[in-house]
Amino acid sequence: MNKIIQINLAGQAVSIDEKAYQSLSYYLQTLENHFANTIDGQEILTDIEARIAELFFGKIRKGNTFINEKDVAEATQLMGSAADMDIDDETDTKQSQRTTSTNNKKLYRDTDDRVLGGVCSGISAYFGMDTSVVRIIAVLLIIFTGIPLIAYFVFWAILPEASTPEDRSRMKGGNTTINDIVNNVRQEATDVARNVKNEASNVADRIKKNSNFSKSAKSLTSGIEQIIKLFAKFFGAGVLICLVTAGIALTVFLLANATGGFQVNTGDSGTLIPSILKSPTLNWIF
Amino acid sequence: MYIYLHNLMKIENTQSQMRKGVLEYCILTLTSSGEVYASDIITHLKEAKLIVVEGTLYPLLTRLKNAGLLKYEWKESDQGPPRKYYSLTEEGIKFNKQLADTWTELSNSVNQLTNVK
Repeated sequence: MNKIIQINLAGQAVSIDEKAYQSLSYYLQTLENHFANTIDGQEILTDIEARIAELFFGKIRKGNTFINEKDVAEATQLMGSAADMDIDDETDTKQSQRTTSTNNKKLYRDTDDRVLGGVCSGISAYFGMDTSVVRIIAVLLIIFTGIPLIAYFVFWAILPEASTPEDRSRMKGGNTTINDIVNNVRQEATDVARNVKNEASNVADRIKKNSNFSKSAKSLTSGIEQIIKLFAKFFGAGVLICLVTAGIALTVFLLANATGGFQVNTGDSGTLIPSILKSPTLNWIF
Repeated sequence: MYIYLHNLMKIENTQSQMRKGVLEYCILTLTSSGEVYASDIITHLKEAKLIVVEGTLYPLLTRLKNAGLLKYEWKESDQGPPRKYYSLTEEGIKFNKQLADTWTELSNSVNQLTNVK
C-alpha cells in the first residue's frame, strides 16, 4: 500500500505516490546541491523541474492516474545526473574535485555481506576499500583499544540497512575523501538549519492564526528531532574519522614494528598521528 | 593511487571537451530557425547523438541566454502551462555566423590532416 500525494512541480499539481516522491525529491536535492553555488542555479533547476513535469504529464495523458517510481526513474535517467550537467570551462583543476565530490553517497550497513551487522562492509563500500581490510583493522582496533566495539554497536544502531537497489548504489557511490564527508555533514547542517527555520516560521504562522497548538508543537519536536539526528551524524562522522585514522596509524605502526623499520617510543607517538595525517598515505589509501 | 589516475589523460575528458565546444554552436544553429522550444532542441541533439542526457542542455541554455546570445519568450501552449521559447538575439546571430565560419575552417583542416597519411 502506498500513499498518493499531490505535489507542486514547476507550478503544476502532480499526483505522485509516496515512494516516487521520495526518490524525486532526493534527485532534485542532489541537483540543488550541485547548482547551489552557481548564479543561475535556480533558473536551471526550474527549467529541469518544468521538463520533468512535462514528462510526467505525458505519462498521465497516456492513462496513468498517478506518477510511480518507475516514471520517476525514467525521468531522472533521461535528465541525467548532476555530474552530466556540468559545463564549467575550468575543467582541469575542477575535474579531479568533481569526480570525488559526488555527494550522493551515503553510509549504510551492507547486510548482504555481513559477519555481524554489516557495518564493516558498509564502511568498506563507502571508502571503496576491501571488506577484509576494514574487518582486520576493526578487529585489531578492538583487541588493542577496545573503543571501536562500542563504536560498532553505535554504527549498528544508527546506520540504515541498504535494502533497496538505490540504497546499494548510493552506498557504493563514487570515490570519497575525508573532504566529502566534511562537505556532506556541512550540507546536512545547512539543510537542517533551513528546515528548522521553515518549521519555526510555520509554527509562528500557526500561533498567529490561533490554530491547533498541538500540531505546531509536533512540528517543533520534529525540528528538534532533526537537530538531534544531526548531532548523531556529526558524532558518527567524528568517530568514523578517528576510527580510520587510528586504523591507519595502527597498521603503519604494526608494519613498521614487524619489519623493524623504525622505533617509536612513547614520547613520539603523540606526533605520529598528525604526521601521518599530513602524509600522502591517507590520500593514497582513500 | 587515485592521484596518479587523476593526472592521466582520459579519453572521456577529451571527448567531452570536443563535444562541449561543438554543442554551443549546434544549439545556436538550432535556435536560429526561429522560436524553438527546449524539448525540440533536445530531440534534435539526441538524434545527432550530441547529448546523451537532457539535463546537459539546460545549464547551456541559461549560459547562452546570460551571455546575451539567446533570449526567450513565454508562450501559451495547448498542453499545460506556458513554455519558454528560445530565439537568437542580434548578437547571437553574429556569433553563430562566426562560429559557422570557424567550424568550416576547422573541419576542413581536420579532414585535410586526417586524409594525409
